Amino acid sequence: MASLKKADALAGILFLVIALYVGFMSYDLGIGTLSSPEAGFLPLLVSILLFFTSIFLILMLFIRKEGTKTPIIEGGKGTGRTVLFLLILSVTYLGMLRLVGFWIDTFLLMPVLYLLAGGKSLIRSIVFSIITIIASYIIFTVLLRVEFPRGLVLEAISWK
Amino acid sequence: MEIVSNLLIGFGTALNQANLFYCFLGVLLGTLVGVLPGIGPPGAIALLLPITFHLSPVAATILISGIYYGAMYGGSTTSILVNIPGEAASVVTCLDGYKMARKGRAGPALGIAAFASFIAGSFSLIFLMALAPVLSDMALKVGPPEYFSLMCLGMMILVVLVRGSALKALAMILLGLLVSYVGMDMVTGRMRFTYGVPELADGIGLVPVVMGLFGISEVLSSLDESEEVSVFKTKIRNLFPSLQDWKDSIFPILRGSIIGFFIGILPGPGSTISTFTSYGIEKKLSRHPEKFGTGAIEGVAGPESANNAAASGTFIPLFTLGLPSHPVMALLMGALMIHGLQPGPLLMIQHKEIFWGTVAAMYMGNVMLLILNLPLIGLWVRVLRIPRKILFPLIVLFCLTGSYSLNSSLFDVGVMFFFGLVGYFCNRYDFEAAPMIMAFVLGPMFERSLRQSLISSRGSFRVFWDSPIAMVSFSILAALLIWGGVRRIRMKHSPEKQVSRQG
Repeated sequence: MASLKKADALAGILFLVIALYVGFMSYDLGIGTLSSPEAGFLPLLVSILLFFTSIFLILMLFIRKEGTKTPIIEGGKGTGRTVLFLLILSVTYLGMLRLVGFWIDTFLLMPVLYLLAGGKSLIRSIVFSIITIIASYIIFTVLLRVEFPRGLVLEAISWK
Repeated sequence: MEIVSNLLIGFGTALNQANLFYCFLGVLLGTLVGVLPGIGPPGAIALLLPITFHLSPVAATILISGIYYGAMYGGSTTSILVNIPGEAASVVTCLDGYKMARKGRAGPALGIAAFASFIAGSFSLIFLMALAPVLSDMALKVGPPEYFSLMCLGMMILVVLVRGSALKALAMILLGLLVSYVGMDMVTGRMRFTYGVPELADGIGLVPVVMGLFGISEVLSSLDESEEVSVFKTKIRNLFPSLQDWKDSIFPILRGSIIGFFIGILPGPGSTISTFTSYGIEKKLSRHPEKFGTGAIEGVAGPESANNAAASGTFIPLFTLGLPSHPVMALLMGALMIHGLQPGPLLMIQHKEIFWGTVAAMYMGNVMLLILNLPLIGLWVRVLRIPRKILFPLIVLFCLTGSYSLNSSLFDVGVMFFFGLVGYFCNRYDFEAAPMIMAFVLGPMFERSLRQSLISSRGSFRVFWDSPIAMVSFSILAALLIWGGVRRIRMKHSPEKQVSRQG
């Protein structure tokens, strides 16, 4: 429960910062008047509401001494590490996308996800990856004619 | 007579070979989504949204609605056999459905769930056909002040009815609104919160946001749970309920249909709330309330009919007012808007085939679902055993291809990952993503209607009091605020709460 309380406090502070930031930015955009509202009018209004909501959210933590009774999903010991790993994975995936192209990049991602979700065999994960990539290539590229990035490497090879 | 002629137009549209196929595909995928715990209808529809852009608007609507009400059917299978609800609307079915299965009555439980869903689905369509045209005629007289007040009311209902903290729901709504204001301001042409990124000029796309919040986040959250699903092993026989079962169930089914439909019209988790309401009413009306929770068939029949009827009810606000009351309806609205169609009263007049084609397809879909859910129950039990090491990479793959394929934009893939993480933390710390999605979709309309109202009234807020609809909406909103506050204070000081605090 303590972790949830801490998370609520952090969320409240985050919302407060967002509200203040958006509020100032909206002011720069121009608020206009009530009869002629400008681009920043509604973002300012919403940010003011968010500001008070986050203040209440933080205040409620002090009023509710016993903490909230709402159930939460309790993560295992490795939860933080898993999320960090997935964050790095997604950044790497996005970074490599332009270089090696969508299909090769996704082919490399699939076995990692397979193993991360409880799969044990590396060979099976590669076979699974090959099957899914071929199936989705047929569905998206052949049938639905969606063009995916080919990647700089493949582009360079095809230029030669 | 007009209803009959419109329904004939609808059947003419729905019986088209392609539409019939998409109806079948929708209900099949819906059942699959309902059966598989984890990924709910919004996530599944988000995954398939890019595919619907290649279809006609009618086919897209038929497919999306098929997934939605199909999931209501499929959700009961997991509740009864695994004691894990396939999705939120099937939570109540676990109480008596699983107990029936443990007593060797899995067959009648699954059977009555399917029949109740079918009866409620068919009944609620009659309500939908009767109410939608009348309400859409009225909606034609609705202007910006009324729209603004109705949207405020809708969002407030969402805040009050949400299962967790109302403050958190309100914060999520406000965040959703702020995210929707990224991009070019349609009135002044000024860029808002784009930071010179050209991809943000048109705003943040619905598809990557939904795929992230409902698809990627679901995978991330499920990785936290270490256990695979274990299916309760029992022989499933006597799928056709006995005469006594029917006697016990028929009135709960009828009551559930009415309750579900009208609760479904309200914004928010209507299908979930309707199941709890139906269960509560049946327990109160029962001569043997003590049997509830130990395997009473009424406890399966009532909620299962309610959640299916609620699914039909959610179409009312979208087709009559153009206001989505559920994340699935927000996605349907997004799908129609990409086809250049604005859901609302004019759609029902100018494109009759879309609304009536969907209604007719829902009739046929209900029959298909009955066939899919009774004789093929063994297949769905096998589906339950798909290991997540196969399921999760597939969901991620669908999210990747789906988010990229819409605009051929790598930026959208990044947005999807970002909202995936946002959704993960929301799940983990009990912030619901659904209010955020609703506000994100309604955001531009919300801003437009407020600005138009103020411009037309030269800055006077009297415009909201001069309109009867707006005045009634704001009065209900105020009453809801007071009621919500009183209810929470009462709950805080209730004896049960005091006991739980001491415990």
